[in-house]
Amino acid sequence: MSFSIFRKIPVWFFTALVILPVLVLAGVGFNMLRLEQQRLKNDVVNAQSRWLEQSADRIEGKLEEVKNELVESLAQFPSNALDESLMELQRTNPLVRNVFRIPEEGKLLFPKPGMNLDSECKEFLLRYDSLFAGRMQWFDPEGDVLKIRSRKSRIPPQSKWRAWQWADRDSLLVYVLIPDRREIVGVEIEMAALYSRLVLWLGETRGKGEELVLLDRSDRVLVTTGDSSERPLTHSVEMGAMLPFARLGAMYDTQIGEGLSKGFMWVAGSLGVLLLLSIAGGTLGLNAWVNRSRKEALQKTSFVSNVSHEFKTPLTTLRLYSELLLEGRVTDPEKQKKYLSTLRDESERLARLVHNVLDFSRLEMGRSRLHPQRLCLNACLQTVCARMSERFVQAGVEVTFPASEVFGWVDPDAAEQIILNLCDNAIKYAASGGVLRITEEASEGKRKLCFRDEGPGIPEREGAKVFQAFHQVDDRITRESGGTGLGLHISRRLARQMGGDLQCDLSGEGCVFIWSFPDCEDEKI
Amino acid sequence: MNAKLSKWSLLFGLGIITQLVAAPQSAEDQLIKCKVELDRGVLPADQKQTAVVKISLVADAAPKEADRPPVNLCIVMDRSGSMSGNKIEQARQAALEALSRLGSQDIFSLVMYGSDVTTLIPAGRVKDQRRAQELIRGIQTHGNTALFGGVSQGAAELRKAFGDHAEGMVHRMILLSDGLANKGPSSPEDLGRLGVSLQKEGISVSTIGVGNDYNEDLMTRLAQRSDGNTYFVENENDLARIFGQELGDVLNVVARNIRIQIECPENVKPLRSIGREATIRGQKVELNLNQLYGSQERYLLLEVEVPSTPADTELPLVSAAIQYRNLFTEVDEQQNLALNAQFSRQEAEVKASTNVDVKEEVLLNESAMAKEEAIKLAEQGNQKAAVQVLKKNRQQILDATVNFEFSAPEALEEEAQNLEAQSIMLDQDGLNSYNRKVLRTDAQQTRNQQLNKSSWKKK
Repeated sequence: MSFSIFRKIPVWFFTALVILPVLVLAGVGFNMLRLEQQRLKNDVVNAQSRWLEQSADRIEGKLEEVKNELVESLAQFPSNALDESLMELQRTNPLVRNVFRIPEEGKLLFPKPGMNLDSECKEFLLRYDSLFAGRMQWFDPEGDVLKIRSRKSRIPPQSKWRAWQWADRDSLLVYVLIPDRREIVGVEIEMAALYSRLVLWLGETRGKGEELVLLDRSDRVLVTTGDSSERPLTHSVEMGAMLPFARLGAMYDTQIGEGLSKGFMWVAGSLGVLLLLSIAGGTLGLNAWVNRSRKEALQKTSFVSNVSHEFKTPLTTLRLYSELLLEGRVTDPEKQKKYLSTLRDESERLARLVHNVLDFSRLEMGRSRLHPQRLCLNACLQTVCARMSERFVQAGVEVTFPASEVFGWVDPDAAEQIILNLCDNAIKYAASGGVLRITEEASEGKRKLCFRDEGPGIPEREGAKVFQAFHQVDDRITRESGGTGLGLHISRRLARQMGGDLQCDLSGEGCVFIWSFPDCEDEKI
Repeated sequence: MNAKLSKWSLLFGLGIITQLVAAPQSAEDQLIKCKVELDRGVLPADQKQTAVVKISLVADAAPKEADRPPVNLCIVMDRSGSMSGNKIEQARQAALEALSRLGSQDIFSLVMYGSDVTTLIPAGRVKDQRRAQELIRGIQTHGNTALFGGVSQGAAELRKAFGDHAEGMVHRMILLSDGLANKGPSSPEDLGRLGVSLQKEGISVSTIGVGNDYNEDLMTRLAQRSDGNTYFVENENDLARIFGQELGDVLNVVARNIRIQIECPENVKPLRSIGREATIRGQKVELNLNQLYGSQERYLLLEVEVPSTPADTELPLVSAAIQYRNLFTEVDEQQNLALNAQFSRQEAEVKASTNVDVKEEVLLNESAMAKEEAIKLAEQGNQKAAVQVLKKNRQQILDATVNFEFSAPEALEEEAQNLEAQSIMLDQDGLNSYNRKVLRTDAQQTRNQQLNKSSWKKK
């Protein structure tokens, strides 16, 4: 019943049964992995953004320090030597490019525009002309008051850190209002020196795998710790009041993102390969199992039908002949004798069949107990062949025996069974007649008996299968000659149980079965 | 500070021609001698005119018996991809050469820049030469040219040695590059300004350009503004020699933190500083130099406008205060000088009074400026005019050698030959990369009063 269900359901159904849930599971797994990857990436991006903001804050803090130091210096200048103090500051402070002093409302006191000046100073006056000429206010009306932690200054001075743009270049001024003189003293920041320090600060503040870049309004690189051509700018934040013309950008080692993607791809790829392998393996396994089951089912069905048929034929003959004899319809003593001999033959055949089936069943159930002993196989051969002499004669097969005596360490019943099966095989399949040559060989410590017939032989592709249970090379012959497809299978198993083997050589003409068995000397040792 | 200035102003009033004040030793014993001279001893009377004042510091050879001042050296090496092959190998050898000449009292550091900036050897005393040598031999080329970052990091390494003893130490960065700065600030103006700020910290950057692809404007500007030397090394095999020369200078510094302050009376107007860039604020002129080498003369040529003055009178022209730290006595010294001009109606007397040494320096510096003018003209496409500028300057030098008897005319004759060769090169080949580098480097070396000029003439 179960076999017929298998036969009806196509293999692809079982394959689909395996693939579908696996695909669903794989899809779910893949999606979860993707979401996890996305989550990780977002975490990294968020952390990077936070870090960048903190970096910008740190830079602002450093700039505040620069400003405070300058404001403190400016606020503490002695009012009777302001120009000299300013010049000294310009001479010694690397962050000071130019210096100036101007009344809150009025014209420059130092450097005086009409003064004899070097070109750098002239350009400085030109750069800030609108501021120095009073066209712009120095301080915002509200704000701009900054308390400086100065120990000496009596009144906290009003001060300003002012970004300036001139000729597409950004610069910075720092100035303070001297309250008692109502004068502004200030400095222009040396931007190159400031940027030079910014490179170092950015280098200190950057995280692992991170490069920082400071860009101006036109996205020109002011300073950078890494190569912007090799890495894309992933984040940027506007700098605060200390560098209002700049924004801080971060370039990350793309390997971090790639690392995640690579890991993801690797895991996904491995899972995919595993999935495919398991599907392919499962399908093949399932296919093989289904095929084997089918084949076994077919063989068993065929066996049952064969055996039934085989039992039926002699039984029919027995019944028919025995009825004829019982009813007394056959009066001719010759005929009676012939019928009785047929009855004997058929019952022998039936006994043989039963014997084979019982042997198989015993072997399958592992109940077979063998008792090997020293045995002269010549006698055994003679006995079996004598018993089969009539069948040999009917088949037109002549038998030749080994010239010398052959002794083996075998179980007598099993040996008889093997010889019987091999001879029976020769009669069935070499029906056209010829000679069955039984010869003896010895090699590798084993003794061998070869059964060589002159029949049509066995096709090479069938060579390995003849020993399988229920296998029959040609069902037609089997039906004609009667057989179960168990003889060779049983014989090989018996031979192997006795420490030998049974093999089939198809290389020459006809069919050769080689039965090897242990030598008596070996077993004694 | 103010006390010094007022004392200086007082001196100016005394009208002493050349006088040393506050010098710790007698003039004969002094390691560093300061002078103030005029291009002519006697100026033409009754006419408004310009005159050139030369304020100079001359150092004797460094005393052999005394220990030389310790050196804080940082080599900033370009290791961008373009340096690969023989260039980086020669640069490694040159760095090893420099390292080998330092002693146990010196501080050494090495910064590499390519796509990024790496401190290979942090600033420290050179105790384990072998380890440092191994590191230098392992330098490999990589990436772009982060020159600005390299110089900034080099300066940070040098600053590590700033402290109580920094005053007595020679801080020097040697920057090696063969390419264009392409990351961060990269204009000659930016690097020049960085040079100015480094000079204030007492750091000089000597720049060595290798091959024909580096930006000579940037390299010379950085060196000039930070009072370092500049070299053009066309063939990388000369690198070790140039490093040797540079180390020769660095190990031969006798004075640091040189400050020349000049003040002119109201009627004398300072016009310009010839060659060098000095700060001019009204009647005051100031020049700061980082160092003076042994057996070297460093000077400021100041052109002043002299008012019409009657004959046989003396006019105070300038008073100068020169401060420096003598690295052998480890004392800050100051020498105060003043200069009065004399006037005559006799043309022959005026001519006879010509100070040929000042005249020579003026001619050489004007020649340097002519070379820079020639570059500018050639870049504007006016190659003929550029050649003419060089030729005209050559002629001026030749005329001067005929009209005046120079004490050592060889330098001028050599300069005339240089100008001739350079004008021919410019005329024939135009302003190619090589010619431009030769002209720029040569001009800067003269203006910077560099001791060891690069040997471009080898070609």
